[in-house]
Amino acid sequence: MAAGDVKVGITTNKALKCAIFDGVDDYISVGSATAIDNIFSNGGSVSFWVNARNGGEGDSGRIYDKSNLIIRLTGTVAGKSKISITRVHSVTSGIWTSTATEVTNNQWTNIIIVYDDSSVDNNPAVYVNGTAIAMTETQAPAGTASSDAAATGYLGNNSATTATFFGGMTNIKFYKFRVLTSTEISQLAQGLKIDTFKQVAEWNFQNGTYQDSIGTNHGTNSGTTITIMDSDLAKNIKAQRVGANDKWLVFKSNDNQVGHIEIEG
Amino acid sequence: MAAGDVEVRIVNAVVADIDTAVTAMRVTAGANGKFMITSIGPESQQVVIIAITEA
Repeated sequence: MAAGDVKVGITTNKALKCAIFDGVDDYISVGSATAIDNIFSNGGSVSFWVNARNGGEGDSGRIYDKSNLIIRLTGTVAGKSKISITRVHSVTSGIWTSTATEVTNNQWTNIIIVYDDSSVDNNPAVYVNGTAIAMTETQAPAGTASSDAAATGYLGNNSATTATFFGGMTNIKFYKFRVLTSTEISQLAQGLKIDTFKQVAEWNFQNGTYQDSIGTNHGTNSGTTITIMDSDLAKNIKAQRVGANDKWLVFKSNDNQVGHIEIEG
Repeated sequence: MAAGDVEVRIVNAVVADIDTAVTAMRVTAGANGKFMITSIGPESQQVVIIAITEA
């Protein structure tokens, strides 16, 4: 390449249509139907794709909150956040937090949690991009898991709207009475489809709505918008850059992907 | 951030949100940083802002 040479790229990989939360007060309510109550009772699994800008409101941005079940980001340091899970029990709530910061800001990250809350001896298994991560049990559960049936489920916030997620979230899948295998976890982390056996909900926003494409737990949003975030955009531009004198153009491409043009300086 | 590092943000296409984002990104990208912007979303209700850090 020499001065004047031109390179054009259009990002396509992992261009995910997602719900955008503002880190201030946005949320998606998914109701409290029986299908999604006590999702981890006798074994369940949930999968989220998140693209967080930081740890969210109060460094406690909710991925999912159903009062007695909380999945959130926290402990954000140097552009990476920890994953924390709280499962309320009748005597003492169980709290598990990833030992290390695992979720990198501004990158699409797949988070899968597999857990059976029917015994206090069980711990959630958490996978980030298909790999099991170390979790620290910061508070051991005691008693029995408290039902969350009476509470409304929220994506991206809590019921008080004081813990807003900041960034994008999509391809959210809930499985009840199904513990995903390592193969299935790997497939989901690669963006592949797995069978829908025992799947009770999916919010993927691909049709531009907040509907549950598997069940009837249709979401109702407040403040969020649906758009496309392309995780590879920053990476591609960085790879394409030759020097400080490069000139750049950018454009909205087909299907909301982003095109970029570099003219070498 | 080092020269060549890239930051991408998507914000609502309203003046206040863009102002806030670009102001923050300017700090990271430095005085010689380069900026690009394009609309995105089904009805162009958001914008993608790209900042390239330059020394």
